[in-house]
Amino acid sequence: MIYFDNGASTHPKPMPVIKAVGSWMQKNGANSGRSGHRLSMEAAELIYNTRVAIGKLFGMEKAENVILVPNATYALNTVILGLFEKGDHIITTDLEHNSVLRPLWHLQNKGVDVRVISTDFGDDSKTVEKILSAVRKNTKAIICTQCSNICGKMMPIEEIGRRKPENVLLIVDGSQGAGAIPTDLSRQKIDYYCAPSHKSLMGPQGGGVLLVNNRAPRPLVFGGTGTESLRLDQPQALPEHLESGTLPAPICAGMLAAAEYIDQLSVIKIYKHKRQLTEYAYESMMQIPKATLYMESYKDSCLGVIPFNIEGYHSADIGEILDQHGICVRSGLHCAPLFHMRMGTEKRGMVRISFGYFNTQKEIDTFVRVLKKLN
Amino acid sequence: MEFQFKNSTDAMRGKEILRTAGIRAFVGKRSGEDGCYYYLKISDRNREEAAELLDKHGLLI
Repeated sequence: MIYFDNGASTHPKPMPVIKAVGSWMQKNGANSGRSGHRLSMEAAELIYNTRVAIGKLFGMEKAENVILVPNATYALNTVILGLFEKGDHIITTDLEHNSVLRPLWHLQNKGVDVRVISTDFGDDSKTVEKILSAVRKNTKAIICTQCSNICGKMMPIEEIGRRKPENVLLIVDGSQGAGAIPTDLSRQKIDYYCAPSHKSLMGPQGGGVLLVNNRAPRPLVFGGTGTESLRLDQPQALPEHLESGTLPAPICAGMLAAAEYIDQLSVIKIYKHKRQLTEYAYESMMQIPKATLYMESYKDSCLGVIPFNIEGYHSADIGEILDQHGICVRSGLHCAPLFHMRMGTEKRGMVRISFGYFNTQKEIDTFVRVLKKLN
Repeated sequence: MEFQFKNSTDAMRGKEILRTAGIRAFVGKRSGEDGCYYYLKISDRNREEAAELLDKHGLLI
């Protein structure tokens, strides 16, 4: 089988990750942060080590600012719904996923002004100019994907961070970038970074992180934290302020193993591998007759994702044909409606191939051979 | 000798800081005036050095 759907979730997971989850479940089912016995304390230590290891990947020194959440959508909702008020102005882009657009739409209906800027695919400095020129007196934040889930376009986060006004927060959706693009929150002036465990971080599904590099947002959920239990209000200290309910220790065991695996491998190595595969796939797919590659104008800033269609076929048909050949891709719509509208693919959808660290050029050759036979 | 912490993150960080300095500490949890708190138990002979280290890192409450 060839798995080219890593943008949805990476597969396979590294063996140390698989082993860590299984072995934790076998040896410790205790609840971290609730009881005082040794198993509970071991679980608390595991969770602390997970925060430290994840934080290290992103230049975060304070473990308490690494908030463990179920997924990136939860992290994004926590920030977006927890920071803004009626009358605030927020800038975002047309490459965002629904996990950004839907909470923003919800806020817009409550009186928050949302401005969507159109990304310039070929010239990042024009995109940055558009963002900066949209800044107003009441602009509170710029919310931007680090790398588009639908088209792989890497956004100029560093330049946005460097040039934005100090009082405007930078919130980054790192769903596709975390673990694949070198990231340092303080150096890049990122205030909040949201990422799932199960994509390029190569951890299990069911985990994610919200990295808080500025004031804490209001909690999305209230409840038990195992601390300050006699108070009826939510503890103010991080991470408990934003972490109610039992934390998933087995998931954290996997996230810790994944973070250590990536740290050992280095994010830059993963980045280079994904860039090489992207370039190779682009060159190879250019040979497929009647194929439209939507990433031609930004191929040099595209990471690991190639959206395409083939004339005469619906995207779902291509997905089915590839599946029959043992190749897993995603077809249809990709939860990024503004990009589909811009490309005119709302009805037809797109086929997306997305690479992970374990993919090879040989797999791309096989994939291209199947598509060439279509014509 | 015990030091109290507001949450497990601070307690674990404190334990790690002390470990790096060669001081062994045991982490525990029990209930207090505001609810539960975490503590680090260390040998009396390390009390001053541990307090200084934990204070330096802003961990003491």
